Parts: sequence; structure tokens; C-alpha cells
Amino acid sequence: MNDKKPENLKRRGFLLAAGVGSAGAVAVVASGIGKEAAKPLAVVSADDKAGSYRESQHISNYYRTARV
Amino acid sequence: MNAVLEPVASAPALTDEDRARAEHYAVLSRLFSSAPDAGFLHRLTALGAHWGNPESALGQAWLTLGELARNADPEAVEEEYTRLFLTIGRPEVMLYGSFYLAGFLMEKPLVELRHDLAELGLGRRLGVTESEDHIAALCDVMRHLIVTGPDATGLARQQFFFNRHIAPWFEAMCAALEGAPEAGFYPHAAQLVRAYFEIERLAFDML
Repeated sequence: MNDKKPENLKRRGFLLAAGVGSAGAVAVVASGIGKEAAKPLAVVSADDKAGSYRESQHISNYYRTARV
Repeated sequence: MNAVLEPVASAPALTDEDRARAEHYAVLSRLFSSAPDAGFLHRLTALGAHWGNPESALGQAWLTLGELARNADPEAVEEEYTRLFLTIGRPEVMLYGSFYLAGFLMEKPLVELRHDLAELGLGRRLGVTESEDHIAALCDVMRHLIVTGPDATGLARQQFFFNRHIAPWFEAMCAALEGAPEAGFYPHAAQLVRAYFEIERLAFDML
């Protein structure tokens, strides 16, 4: 896979060193993200006419699951 | 191909760093989409404890913001949000890319952004009044691109979008936030924005 390419390893190493690594304490958030991956907060495909990004179900789900 | 495998392929597994990136974009979006309430301040405190680290710029920004959130009065933060961003007429700090790129709201950069969003199959939800170049909306797009496209093609898409629509102006917005008069919370939020986007920019340059 592309992840094995040297430049991506370098990038990953950089991100980890810069502190953008372990989801750790908030790892539980990721499962929420995964489930709703197809649905962004602010901008969604034109056929979704409900709500706004300020109070979408998605964002409330996100912060519900972000509880640590 | 094997149809049974398709759902797996359509929900790509995220690496730890992509999860952390998506979470950072979610936090940045929430910081600017509306005033933080007590629940969000509480979570910021927890995130500050997790991501705080005196040895990196990002970690320092997290330490500061986490500590600030722990002691913050939600009403005071809401008041600051309203004063800085929602003042009728001319808010103290603009959160829209067009303002920094073109000097006015709703300018040509917004037209280009709408074009790129259309290419990605994205658009504004009905009822959302902020234009698409609001920093929170752009963070939402980035988060969407990360969780739906962590592969090489998706990364290239993220890089294109970030370099075109966020990188050119986030520093100007951060400077405005840091210089906002009588503000105690958002100048520090700006340091998180600055530290995180700087990392993103450097990391994209490694692709």
C-alpha cells in the first residue's frame, strides 16, 4: 500500500513527533467518526436538507462520544 | 470483485495520526462555529490534558487552552465569542477566508471555493447562513476528506484543498485573533489553530 512508501513514513513520523499521534484518551471518538464518515458537519451532499452544522446530530454524536 | 468486501473497502480504517487529525479539525470547527458551552469547555480541559506537552508548539497550545478552559466562565467566553465574531456590522475579527484573501466578504475566493466544493460533491446545508469560507466550515470539509479518503488519492485531495483554501490566510486570521482587544480565550485558541495548521502545512509538503 501507499502507506509503505518512504515519504509517507517520513510524514507519519513527523506528525507523531509534532504531537498529532495517539488518539488515546479520545480514541472512542474515532468509532463515531468512522460510522458517520460519509456525512460531514457543515457541508453535505445537496440531497441532505436537514439541520445546520451548528447543531447537527453528527456534531452532538461526536461530542457525546468524546466524553473521557 | 467480491461484493462482501465492499462495505469494508468503503469504510477505510484510519491510522492513529489520521484519527488525531480528524479530531483536531473537529475541535477547531467547534471552537469557531458557535460559542463554547460548559460541556465543550469541559472536553477541552480533558483534551488539553491528553494532548498537552511542553515540548512542542502544539502541545503547549493545548496545555494553555486546556488550563484556560478549566477555569473559564462559560458566560464570559460566550460574551467574548459574540463580541468578536457576531457584532452586527463589522465584527472585531473575521472568520471568513474571502476577507483575508480579497479584502471583502463574498469575493472571488469564495467563488473558487464553491467550485472546488462542487467538484467534491459538497455544498452548504439548507439553513446555514455562514458562507462556505467560514473557518469552521473549512475544518469540517478537511475532516470529511480525512475520514473518507485516507489513501494516497485522498491525501492528495486533502493537500489540494488545504493549500488552496486554508493555508493562504490562516496566519492572518490568527494574528487578528491574537491582537483582539480585551479577549482572554480566543487569542489562545488562535495559538492552537496556528500550531496545528503549521504542522498540517509541513506534513503536506512531505507528500
